[in-house]
Amino acid sequence: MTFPISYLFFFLTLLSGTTLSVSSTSWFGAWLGLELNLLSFIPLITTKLCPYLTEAAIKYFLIQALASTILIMSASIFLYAQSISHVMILLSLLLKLGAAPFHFWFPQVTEGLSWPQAFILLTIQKLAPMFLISYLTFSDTLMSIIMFSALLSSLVGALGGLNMMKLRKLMAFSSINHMAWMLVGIYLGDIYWLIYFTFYSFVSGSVIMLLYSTHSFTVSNLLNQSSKSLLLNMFIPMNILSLGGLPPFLGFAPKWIMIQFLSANSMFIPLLVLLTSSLITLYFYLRLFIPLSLLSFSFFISNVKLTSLFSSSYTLLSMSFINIFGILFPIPFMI
Amino acid sequence: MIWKISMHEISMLTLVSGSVLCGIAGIKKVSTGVMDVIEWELFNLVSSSIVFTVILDWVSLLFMSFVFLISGSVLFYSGSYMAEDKTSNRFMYLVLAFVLSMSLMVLSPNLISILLGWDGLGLVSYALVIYYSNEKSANAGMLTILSNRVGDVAILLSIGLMSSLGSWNFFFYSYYLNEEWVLLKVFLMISAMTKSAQIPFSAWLPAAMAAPTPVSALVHSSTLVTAGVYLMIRFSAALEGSLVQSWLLIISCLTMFMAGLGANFEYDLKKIIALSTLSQLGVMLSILSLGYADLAFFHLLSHALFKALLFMCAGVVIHSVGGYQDIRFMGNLVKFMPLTVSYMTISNLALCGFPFMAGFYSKDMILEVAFMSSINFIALMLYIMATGLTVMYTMRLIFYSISGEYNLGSINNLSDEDYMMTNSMSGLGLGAILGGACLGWMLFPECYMICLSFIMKMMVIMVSVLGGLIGYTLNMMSVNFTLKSLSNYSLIVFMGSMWFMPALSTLKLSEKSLSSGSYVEKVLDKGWFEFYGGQGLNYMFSNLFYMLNSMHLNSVKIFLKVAVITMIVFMVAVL
Repeated sequence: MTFPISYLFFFLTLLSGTTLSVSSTSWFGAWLGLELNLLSFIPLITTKLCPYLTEAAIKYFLIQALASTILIMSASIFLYAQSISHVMILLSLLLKLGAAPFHFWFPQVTEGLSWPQAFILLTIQKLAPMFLISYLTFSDTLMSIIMFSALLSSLVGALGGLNMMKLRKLMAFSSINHMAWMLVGIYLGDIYWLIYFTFYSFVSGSVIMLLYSTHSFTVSNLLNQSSKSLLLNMFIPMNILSLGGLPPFLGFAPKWIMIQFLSANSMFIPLLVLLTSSLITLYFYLRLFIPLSLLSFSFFISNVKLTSLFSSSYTLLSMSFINIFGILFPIPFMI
Repeated sequence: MIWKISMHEISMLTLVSGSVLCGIAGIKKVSTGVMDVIEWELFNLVSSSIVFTVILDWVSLLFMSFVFLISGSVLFYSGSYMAEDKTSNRFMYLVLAFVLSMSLMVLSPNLISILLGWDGLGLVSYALVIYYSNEKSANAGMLTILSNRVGDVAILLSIGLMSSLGSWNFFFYSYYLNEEWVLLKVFLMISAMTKSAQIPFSAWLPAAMAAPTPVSALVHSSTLVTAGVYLMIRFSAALEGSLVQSWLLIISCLTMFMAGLGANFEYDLKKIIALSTLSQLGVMLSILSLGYADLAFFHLLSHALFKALLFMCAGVVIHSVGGYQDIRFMGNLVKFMPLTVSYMTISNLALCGFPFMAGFYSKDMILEVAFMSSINFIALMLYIMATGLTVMYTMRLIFYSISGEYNLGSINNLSDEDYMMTNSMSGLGLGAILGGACLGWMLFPECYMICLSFIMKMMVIMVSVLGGLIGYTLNMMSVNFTLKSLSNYSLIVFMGSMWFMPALSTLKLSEKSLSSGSYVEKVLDKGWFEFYGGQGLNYMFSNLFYMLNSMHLNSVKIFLKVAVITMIVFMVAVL
């Protein structure tokens, strides 16, 4: 993958923006970090002069700017009206995150990006708002808003991706669904959402790398890949199932943890909603690779070149391997 | 090819030497009264240990010895009987698998490990019944396996019940099971009844005659059908004095009577012998339910010898008359195949309990002990009538096939000179004569004290002679005789069709279940479940998706407005 040298610089400022906002002690500092993060993500999106990238960048900028405005405004009325201020900060962070009632922009923006940028949007860009939300768990009102947003996100993520044929939108909806688990994790305690986030970043990164390396943007692109490689036919389904959280794969581990602690805290109704929506997501994940794995016959072609996909990328191979068999070596992952 | 030729010889040698080995060990166990138990603990589950038990006492070892002897003879016999069969090797392997399951069943009377042999018997018997792949044998096989499946389920249920005891060695626990365990006893009785084809489950036994004749010789003499009796023998201590015992007595007496009656109206040679097996199973189970498990075992062993011989003779007859099984096509065979017919007569007489044949020692003792013990009038009458009926159908069989008129075509292939078949029969023929006496001397070194009035003592002989006379004379026919049985047609059909049991357990049962199944499938599986289940959910979710998708396909301006309005709504709702 080639990228301009400025990419490196802006990536650095993006990360430092996140770090700044996470580690600041005031809402002003948090806002500053978020702005830095936003303004360095825009150039990362527009690496090429392409109308789609520009459109995505503009959309992202407008939404995030609105959220930042509300954030700094409500931070400034903090001393004047405390309770309003907290709720508004939370809502603006939810908007930044793309969680359920404010999720409308998220699939559209993801659709305009290329895969590496989409990966940044799905994982790193979530880190700062999520951390800031996890600081806002001190009142019942805030907690119930978080829970409401989480349950809505899980349903929206599951139903929104149901008939989707475009892979980036589908990943965006799956991200909204996973975000619901993370928000419930915030509800439970800090460590749970962090564990979930770590696993999710890894698993979705692995899937995105596979999709990126096969240049797939729609389901039919994926199907056309099927005749090329045996390993691909094997790895794509397993990685996607891992993203869906099917038990033998790594993606099940964080869900397992969450299920364990949710039922330990007797939160059965949120658990029910989350599991139901996970089942629906599993359905669209299955639809994603069933044409690939079952309707193609490359398994039976004897002269398949096994080296075509993984000859260049050991990272991809090892990530997929950990993604598939990771749950068998649980000790490094159980933080 | 060399393998195919010698397979039966190798099996015969191995099995007969195994039989001698088990027999010697069994005699040693009888004389010393020692029992060896080997337990292999597979795993321990919440303080209930799952063990594989192997019990080596005189019962299991003698039983094994007889099973090996009979299966060795039968395998050698089928070397000729199945010689022209395309897949005779498969047949041999199936029979060997059958012997293996039987020995697993005999050696491990633990409720869990017995399943290995018990289910194996069911499975392999199915494979053997459907060996001639035609519609009749497929139906018979299905009836056989489903009837046996009921017993498997009963054993599984009793495993569930016994799990509260912490072990499944019912052989040891049967001494300590009181009346509270009536459900367990009923389940085990049901499983024994299915394997031994007692009354509600009798239909499969004559149907299983669709199997090749050597299989019938093995399955219906010593192995499959006696598995239920063996289970009950091992469990007999728990039946002692319980309610289940009297139920079993009535059921087995009825089976004994029903089978004897049915055999008198049957024209299929193998089915007659199958019904006589059923009748003898009734005898074993009835004396067992009177509390004499050792007599039941004695009869089981002696019956195994002469019944295997009888089936093998029937096989030779069927083989040489060209595949006919209808006894009306046979007749006067004694002129053509004297050796086979002698063996057949020996085993027939042993079956009737002719003095000093194998069956005499066990059956006469059983009848006299039964007459002596306190049983009710119905059971007594059933015993007496079944004894007479046994002699009756035997004499009828002798009349139709052995003596009587020659009814086969003028071109025939009747001969006695197949050395494989006759040699394999000769060992068992010796057993059918001497087996009862030898076993009696060995198993009962002390005499039973029989104390009966003169009438009761002579009852068996009188009834037998009467039955024999009726059976032989009633079937003599001439063109100028009127057919009296047509005037009582419905009664004849009832008695001749095993009291409608085959129809009840196949047609009526499957008719109802299939029609209700199709109704349920139409209304639920393809109806409401589909409407509110898979398709309905898919439809609902897709509609929701379209709604959401139309929201997501708007411009950013609207998204911004929606976000602000949502925030305002939230603020209003919260504050």
